[in-house]
Amino acid sequence: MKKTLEWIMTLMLTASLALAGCSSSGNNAANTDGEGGDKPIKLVWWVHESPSFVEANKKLIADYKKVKPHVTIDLQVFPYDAFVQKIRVAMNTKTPPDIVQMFGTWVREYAKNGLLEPAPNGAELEAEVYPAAIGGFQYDGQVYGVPHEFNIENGAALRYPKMFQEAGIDKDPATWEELIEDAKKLTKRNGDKITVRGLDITSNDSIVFYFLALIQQQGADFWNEDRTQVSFSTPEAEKAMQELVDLVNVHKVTDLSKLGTTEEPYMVFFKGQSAMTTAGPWTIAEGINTFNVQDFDYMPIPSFTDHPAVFSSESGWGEVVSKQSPNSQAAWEFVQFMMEEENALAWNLQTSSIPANKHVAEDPKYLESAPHVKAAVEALPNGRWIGPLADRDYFFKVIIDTFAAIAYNKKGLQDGLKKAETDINKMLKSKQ
Amino acid sequence: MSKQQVSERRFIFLSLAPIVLLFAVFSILPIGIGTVLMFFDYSPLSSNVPFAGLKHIRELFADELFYKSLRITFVFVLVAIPANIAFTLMIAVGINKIRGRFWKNSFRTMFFLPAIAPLAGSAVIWTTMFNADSGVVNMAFQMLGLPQIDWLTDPSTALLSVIIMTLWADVGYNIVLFMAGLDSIPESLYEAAELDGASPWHVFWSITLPMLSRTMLFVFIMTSISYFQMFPQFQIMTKGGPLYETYVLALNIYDQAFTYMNMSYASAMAFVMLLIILVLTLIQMRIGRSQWEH
Repeated sequence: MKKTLEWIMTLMLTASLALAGCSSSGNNAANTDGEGGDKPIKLVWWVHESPSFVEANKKLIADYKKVKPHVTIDLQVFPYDAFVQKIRVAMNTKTPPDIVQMFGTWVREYAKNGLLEPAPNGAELEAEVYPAAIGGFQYDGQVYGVPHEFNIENGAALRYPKMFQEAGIDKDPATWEELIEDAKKLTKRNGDKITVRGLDITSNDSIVFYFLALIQQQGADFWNEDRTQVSFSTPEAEKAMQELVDLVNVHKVTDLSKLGTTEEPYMVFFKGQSAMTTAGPWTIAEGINTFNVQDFDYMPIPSFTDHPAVFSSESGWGEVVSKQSPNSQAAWEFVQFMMEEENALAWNLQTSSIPANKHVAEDPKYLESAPHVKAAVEALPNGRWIGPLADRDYFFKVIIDTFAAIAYNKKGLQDGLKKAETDINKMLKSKQ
Repeated sequence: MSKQQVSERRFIFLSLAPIVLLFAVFSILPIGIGTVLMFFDYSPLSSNVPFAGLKHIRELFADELFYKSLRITFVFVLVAIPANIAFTLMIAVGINKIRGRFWKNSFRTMFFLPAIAPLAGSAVIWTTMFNADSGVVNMAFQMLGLPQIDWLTDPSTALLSVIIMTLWADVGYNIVLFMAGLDSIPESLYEAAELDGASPWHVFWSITLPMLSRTMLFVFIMTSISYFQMFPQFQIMTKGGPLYETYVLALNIYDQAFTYMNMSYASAMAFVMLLIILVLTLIQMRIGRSQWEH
C-alpha cells in the first residue's frame, strides 16, 4: 500500500509540475522589492508584435534606464492575435502585466470592469491630446491611459505619383468627383479583370471608415444623442453606402477579389496592384522597410461634400496600467516619461505614427523629420472619436458584411442597412 | 483477494491513471464547464458571472447566422465525406492490387504524406495556390486556356476550394484504414469468385464492399466526427467568407468565443454541435451494425 501511495504522490507531483510549467507569469512572478525609494523595481510591459513599434519601445526603455536606473522594464512582445487573447485572459487575474500597450477602442471594456488604474493627471491629458485620440481612453469621467498615436485610417491616401503622371493627372483631386475621375483613369484592366485598382477601398478598415466618414461629411451622424444606439436608416447612410458600392459596381475602380483575404489594401498597393489606396500613415514604414518601395507619397482625400473632410478615428495605440499592478506608481511614471514631448516625438518618428499629443504634432520639427505624413497631419483637426463601439470587431464586421451583401446584390441597400443597424444596436444594448 | 490479484489491479490502476487523468482534465472537465457556462453570462474580463437561464439557447434559435453556419457545415460534411470515402477507397483498392511490396509501400506512404503536415500549414500553402492573381491553379488554368477564377473570394467557389484542400490533406488516414481492411479479407473468397468467373466489378460489389463494411463504418464515423469539427482551413483560407459561404459551425463558435467574447453563447452553440455529432454517430452505429465475423 505504501508503494501505491508513493506511486500516486509521484504521479500527482509530475502532473502539478507539468501544469505549473503551462502557467504564464505576470508581474508577480518576476517582482520587486517594493515601490518607492531607489529599491529595484521590475515592470512588465506587454506589447504586440510590430517591428517599428518594438524598436521604438526598446529605445524608450533604454532611455528610461538612464533616468531611473533602478527600474527594469521587461518588454514582452506577442503576435497580434495571441496578444489580444492574452490580455483578455491575464487582465482579470492577480498577476497581470503592469503596463499594456492597448488599442484605444479596447480600453473602455477593461475600464468598465475595473481592471485599469485611472491616470493621475487625466485633466492634463485631456488638454494635451487630440479629442479623437483620447476618446477611447475615457470612461465615466476618468482617463484610463495615454494614447501615443492618433489612429488615422482615413482622410489621406497612399499613391504612386508616376502612375498619376502616366494617366495624365497633374494635380491632386480637389473634390470627390475629381477623385473618382482620377481613379477611373488610373484603373487598368486585362479584359474584365482589374490589374491595377484606381482607388482601393476593399479592406475591413477602409470600408468602415469610409462609410462613417461619408455619413459625417454630409453633416450627419451615425450615433443617437447619448451614443447608445446607431442609425443607418438615414438618407445620409444610404447615400454613403451606395457610393461605396458604386466604386465597385458602377465606377469599377476596384473589385471584391481581395475582400476578406489577408491581403490588406496597403499590401496590394505596395505590390503595385493599386494606384491609390486609403491607409494609415503607419503603412509608410511598412512600405519602405518590408516591401522595399520608395516611389510613393501620401495625398489628402477630398471631402464627399462641401462640408469639411471629417472622419472617425479609433484613438490609436497607447499605454494603460493594470489596477492589480503592485508598482502602479512606477508604471505611471514610465508612461508619463513616454508622454514627454521629446520622447513622444522620437517614438512617433520611429513608428511612422501620427502624434496623439497636439504639441508634438504641431511642432515644426515633426513635419521636418516626417514630411511624407503632411497630408495626415493636416487632416487631424477633422478627426472625430469613433464613439463607444463596445465590441469593435463585431461593429466593423457587420458593416463589412452589409457592404459585401449589397455589392454582391444579395441584399437591397435599405434592407441591408436596416439589418446592420438592428444587429449593431442589439450588440450595443447588451455590451455597452 | 489474493496477493496476485491486488498486484494486477494496482498495475491496471497505475497504467490507466495518466490517460484517465488527461481525459478527465482535457475532455470531461471542459465539456462539463462548457455545458454549465451556457446558463450564465460569462466574460473573462468580469469577476461577476450572472445567471442567464435559457437566454443563450433562445438567442441561438433566433440567430440567422447560426442556421447559416449549420447549413454550411452540413453541406461541407455531405459533400466532403462521400467524396473522401469514394476517393480513398478507390486509391486503396488500386494500391492493394500492386504486387510488389516496395511500390505498394511507396504509394501508401506518398498518399499519407499530406496527413503528416499540419493542417494549418497545408491551408496556408493552398491559400497561395488558390490566389486569384498569382496562384499556381490559375496559372495552370491560363495555360489550358481556361478562365481565371477567384477561388477563395467568389461565393460560388469558396466552399468547393476548401473541400478540395481538405480532401488532399485528409485522404491519407482513410487510405491506410481501407488498406488494412482489404488485407483482412480472406483471399479464398476472391479465388472462389475467380473460379466462378465473376467480373472485377462484381467482385468489388459482392465481396470487397460487404467485407469492408466494418472498416467503412469506422471510417465513416471518424471522418464525420472530424469533419463536423473542421476549423483550421476555414479560418486560414477564407475566414468564413465570402458572404459566410464557408462559415462552418466551428468557426462561428470560435468567433463568438474569442473574437466577440460571447463565451456563454459560444458554449450553447458548442453544446448543440456536441448533440448533433452524438446523435449522428449513434444513428450511424445503429445503421451500420453487422452481425457477422470472419
